[in-house]
Amino acid sequence: MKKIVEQNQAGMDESLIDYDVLVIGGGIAGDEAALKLADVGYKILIVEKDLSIGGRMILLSKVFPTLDCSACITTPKVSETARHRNISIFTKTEVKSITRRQDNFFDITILKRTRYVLETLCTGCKECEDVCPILIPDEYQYNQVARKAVFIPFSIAQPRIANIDIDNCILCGLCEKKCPSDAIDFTLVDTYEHLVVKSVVLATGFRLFNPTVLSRYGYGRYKNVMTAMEMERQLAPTRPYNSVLRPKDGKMPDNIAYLLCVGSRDQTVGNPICSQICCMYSTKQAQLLLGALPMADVTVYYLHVRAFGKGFCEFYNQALSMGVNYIKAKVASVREKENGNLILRYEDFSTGQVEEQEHDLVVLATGILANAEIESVFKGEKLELDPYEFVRQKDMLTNPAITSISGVFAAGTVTGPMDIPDTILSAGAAAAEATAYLKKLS
Amino acid sequence: MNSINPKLACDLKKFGTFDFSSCYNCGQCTAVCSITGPDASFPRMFIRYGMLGLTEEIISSKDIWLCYACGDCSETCPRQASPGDLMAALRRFSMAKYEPTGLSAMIYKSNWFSLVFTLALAVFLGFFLLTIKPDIPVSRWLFNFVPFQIIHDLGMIAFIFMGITAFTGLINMYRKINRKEKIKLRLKNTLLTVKQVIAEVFSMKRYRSCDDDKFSYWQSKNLLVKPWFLHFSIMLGFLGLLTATVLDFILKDPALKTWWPSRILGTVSGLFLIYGTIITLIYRIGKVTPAYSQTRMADWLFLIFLLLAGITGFWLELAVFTDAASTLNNLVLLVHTVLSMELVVLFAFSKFGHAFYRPLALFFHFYKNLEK
Repeated sequence: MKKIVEQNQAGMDESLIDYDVLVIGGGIAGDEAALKLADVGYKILIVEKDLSIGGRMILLSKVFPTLDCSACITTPKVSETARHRNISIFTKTEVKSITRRQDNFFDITILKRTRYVLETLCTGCKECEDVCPILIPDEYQYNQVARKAVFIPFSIAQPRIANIDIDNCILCGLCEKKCPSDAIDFTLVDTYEHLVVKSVVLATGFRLFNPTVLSRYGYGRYKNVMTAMEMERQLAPTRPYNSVLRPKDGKMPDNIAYLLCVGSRDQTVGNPICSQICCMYSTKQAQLLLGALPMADVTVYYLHVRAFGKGFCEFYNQALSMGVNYIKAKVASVREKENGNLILRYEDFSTGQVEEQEHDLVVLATGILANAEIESVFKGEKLELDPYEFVRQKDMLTNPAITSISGVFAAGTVTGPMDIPDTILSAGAAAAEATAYLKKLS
Repeated sequence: MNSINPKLACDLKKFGTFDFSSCYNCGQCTAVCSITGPDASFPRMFIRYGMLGLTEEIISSKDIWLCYACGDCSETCPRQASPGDLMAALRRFSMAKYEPTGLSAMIYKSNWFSLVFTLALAVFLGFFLLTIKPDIPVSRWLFNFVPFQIIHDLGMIAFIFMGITAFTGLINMYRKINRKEKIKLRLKNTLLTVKQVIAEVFSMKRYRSCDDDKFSYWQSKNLLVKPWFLHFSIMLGFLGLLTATVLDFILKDPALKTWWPSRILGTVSGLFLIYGTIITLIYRIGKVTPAYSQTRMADWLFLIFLLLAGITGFWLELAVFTDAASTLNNLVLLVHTVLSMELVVLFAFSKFGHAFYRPLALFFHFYKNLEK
């Protein structure tokens, strides 16, 4: 033991270290990796670009194949992460550069964007929201309802601290006057900070495919064509309306179509690979819709149903037995009728004939794309990506969390499309690899 | 009976590129096509036929001829498998199957063969033309080696042979397709259908619907640069020039006066022909859409021949007013005539063959609809 301490003093100065591990991304993968590492005793910093940790999962309705409430699983994890004494969280913060030092540590530059709210004072009482006169589409409800310019992102946000959307704020000062704890301060500015860490875990997640690229489906043009994420919000416990309503006229839909493989397995949009989750989340939403709208018909237009995980095939069979209609076809185009209904054109495989079918709501099961922004953050060393711009796993089969840079580990969908159980597993693997690395380092 | 032939896929590749292994059989190509419907389903069906090697299904189908190669299917194919190229390859394949001599097959399969054969034929036709003027020095030199009569007779035999093969091809196609469609010709329906086909050929309604399709690259483009219009102007140009030439021939009067009707017809048609071929060549060289990206030697030769025939035609029209008898002008006349004769002689074997295969397929299509 003494020997190790001496070694440390010779090569590395522990007093320089701000945190043992920097976790980039506070989604479920980042939180899980951070929790495991913090439990071992390491000091962790989670840097989250968004206003709340919890990532995409905290916004979902239910998870497949168990139909457990997604928020109810995420929230305990998220609050555990937030309350852990070894974990610090910076939200609305971005990592700007990562450089390896000579002593093998990493120099980190982060940009803390200000909320114009003093985080220590804000109690999350929402009084500011009540007085703010501005209404803007709420990105956390996927633009289906409005929010204020000063707002708490969503009710189960962590941290539950107000944020001022300064681009849309008219600086009227009403919120500043109203705030009971004087937490609002318009003089705050963005700040850069420098840190030293021993190791980095990448958990930056994925991007969702933007279906406006596929103009044939009319997303953005036809109001009743929506993405699965928008539907996910309508089905969530913290949903914008108290029911499932179609966007154009607020009518309750009774003939809903799901289009699979939108932006996945499609070389015309540059993404030839399977997103691995769309079959199952569509099957999940179909089942939830049959619960929410008992009179509705749900049709899933699929290419191949990929129900490969534990309990997935049973889940798919359950949907079939509930009466979800699966049609093997790739819908080629969507046309809007005057009443807002949509006509899908596809080739029916059972007859080999082109068919047209009318639905009153179309949900596009958009796929997952890589979030390659993190690559440019590394200075001096190259973070290798795979052909689809996901972080390349040096040894996918035996060490899935190891990247091309020593001391940098990958957790969750940053390495490729995967579902929640796999993401948790991947985060655990990254935590284990990071632990082993840190042990060797000291 | 159909039998499965796994080698067909390899054979089809020689008629145009298509990678059967990249297709994942989603049917997007069929559904995105603006002219498929309950009475015609392609290209996915034909990809299946090709994979399984169902030659009979392919060559007894009218559907491949209903496609105007707009390229929407290739553009939107999620596997970028280019189903549009397969349709073009299948048309070449079928033409080769209908035509009994096997010459078309060789022309389509081998770019080199089509080039060499076309050039050799040009030389032969050049000699043949000399037999019309046996008195000039070149002719006298030639006939020292090969007797005049032999060349002349061979030429005539070649013309008759080509005519018979073209006709046989058409009959073969009719028989093959009718085996599947089983139409019974009735005079009234036949006349009605012929009327429809002629109306279609001269209005290009179906082709137009491809270009005006909402998702087409051409939808917002100017009429003058749309593929259907280019095709229309080449077709009208050719037909107009043919009529003008025949009229000149019948009247035996090289119409010197510019206002002479057949002369005006010829001039206008020539302009259309040159315009259409030039723009089409530009599209093919620039590969503006997937539909224009796969050009076989047979396609190049056909377009270039049309263009050159048009240009030399205008040269001659001007030459009539100047020094008509100069050696250069005579040479241009020879080239012009050889080009025109090649177009006619190779009618059944070149890309030109679609000019009668497609209307026949349309005939079946309309007749079938009429029967319903």
